[in-house]
Amino acid sequence: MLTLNNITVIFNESTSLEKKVLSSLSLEVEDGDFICILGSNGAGKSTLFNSIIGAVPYYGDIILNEENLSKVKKNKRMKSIGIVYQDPLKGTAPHLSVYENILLATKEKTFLKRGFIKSLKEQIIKDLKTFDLGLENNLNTACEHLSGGMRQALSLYMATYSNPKLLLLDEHTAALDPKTQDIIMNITSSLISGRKITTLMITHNLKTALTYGNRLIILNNGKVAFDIKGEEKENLTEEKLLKGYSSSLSDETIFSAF
Amino acid sequence: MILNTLTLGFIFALLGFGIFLSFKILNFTDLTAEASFTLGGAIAVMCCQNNLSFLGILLSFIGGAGAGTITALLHTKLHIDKVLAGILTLTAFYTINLWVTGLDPNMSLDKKTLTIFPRNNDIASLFIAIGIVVLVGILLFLFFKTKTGLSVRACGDNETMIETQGVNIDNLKIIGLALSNGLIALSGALFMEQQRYYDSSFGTGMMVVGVATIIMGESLIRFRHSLPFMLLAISLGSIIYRFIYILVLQLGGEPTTMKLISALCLVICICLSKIKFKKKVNHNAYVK
Repeated sequence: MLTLNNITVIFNESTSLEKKVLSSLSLEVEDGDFICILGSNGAGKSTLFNSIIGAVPYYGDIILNEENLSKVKKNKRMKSIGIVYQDPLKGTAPHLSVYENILLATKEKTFLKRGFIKSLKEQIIKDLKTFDLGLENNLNTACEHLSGGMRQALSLYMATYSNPKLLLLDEHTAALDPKTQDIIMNITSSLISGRKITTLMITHNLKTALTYGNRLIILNNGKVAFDIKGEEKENLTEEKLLKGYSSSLSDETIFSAF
Repeated sequence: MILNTLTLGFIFALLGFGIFLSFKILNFTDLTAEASFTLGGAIAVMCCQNNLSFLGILLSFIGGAGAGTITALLHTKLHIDKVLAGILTLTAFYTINLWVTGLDPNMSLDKKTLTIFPRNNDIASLFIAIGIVVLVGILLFLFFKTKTGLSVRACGDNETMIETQGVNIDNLKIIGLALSNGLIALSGALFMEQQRYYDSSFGTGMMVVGVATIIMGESLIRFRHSLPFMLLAISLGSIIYRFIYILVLQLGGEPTTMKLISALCLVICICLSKIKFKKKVNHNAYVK
């Protein structure tokens, strides 16, 4: 279970440029939840993720499975959190091969035992085949030669490889074409289903949010403007969501893009 | 003389490995290299004078690793810029290297002093140099087969990615720079033991030699993705560089002008590799 308690993030604190990006945001997330986070640009979505991974200083407490992350260093936090960014270049090492990138996501200390390496490779090929992107034929290809979709699929596979307690997806399909977006969302869903990985996904795509999320949160000005779950979520239509989403946005011009 | 040049080529291959680690793999412009090369020579000369040539090799590696660690700590813990951190360590080690040799800026070994390279036996010296390079190559290969080694490779490539895997980047930089400078100091120690003299200006210009070695190797073998090829290419590059150096000397080049010639060689190498690249993407081919 993930609990966010009064999370406040202030940029340029105590200067004339002071800006409160998150203000006393509280949230409780059940194990296995797939939460879609919506909101205009600057609403605090990415800052929320950055505070969870410890990349920005914040006030308040973040508790993941009874462990208060506020006292845990960033690299230790990342052992139980997986993250995929919007930019396909961020999730993989470009000069390392697909296979070497995946090895980095494993918990092994050395990669010298032949028997182990063989069975690991077989497992990886089996997993990658289910993606249907041809990644399994490119195990020795450097990631710099992969397409954006392939890189995102690989990033997702790596982020979920060691069964993290929490998966953060920061608009991970936004840089892809519509067809690849669907493929990546299917991969996302297949990777987390059955493994009870709690997932928070930032998206601007209302249809994706409605299809995959079992709870929707709309952020506005660093606060939770709407929290739609349970029956309310089941009865939600795209039009209704659009209406609610629209009212949460102060700037109508941003909204007209939908 | 050919055997001697080959031996030097292999000794400088270790310098190439070290600079390759910091410049190419860690993406860290580490100027400590020049200080650690001299430090290696200084430690080795002091050990040789006490008939501890083997220990000298080992201690020089440790000393170089220490110098690299200092640069890495300045950068990671005090957030000093990479280049400045290197310059600070480099400057500090001018004094430390003098302390190591008891304020003696240049020393030579007398005829009785033993080093790991037997005197007047060029073939044995060459095989010893090859043996050390092969051993270091195997150890590096094994290191890069561990998760830490692979993480060091990934760290220079994409820090964000390696951070998301829960690895401490600062530690990787410390390990990478310690290893890099350890190898450079080892090269300095072997160079001193082969030449049988030490000079406090040993390290000056070694960055250029190291980078030239890598660029020459890179133009011979496209090696980015396979470590054994990388190491082989650097060794080849180092040997070719040594032969060019000797050729220039034979053609009447003065030892005093060699640093200038080294720098010019590097500029020419870089220009040649750019021309080669431009040929590959000849935009005019699409214009009719």
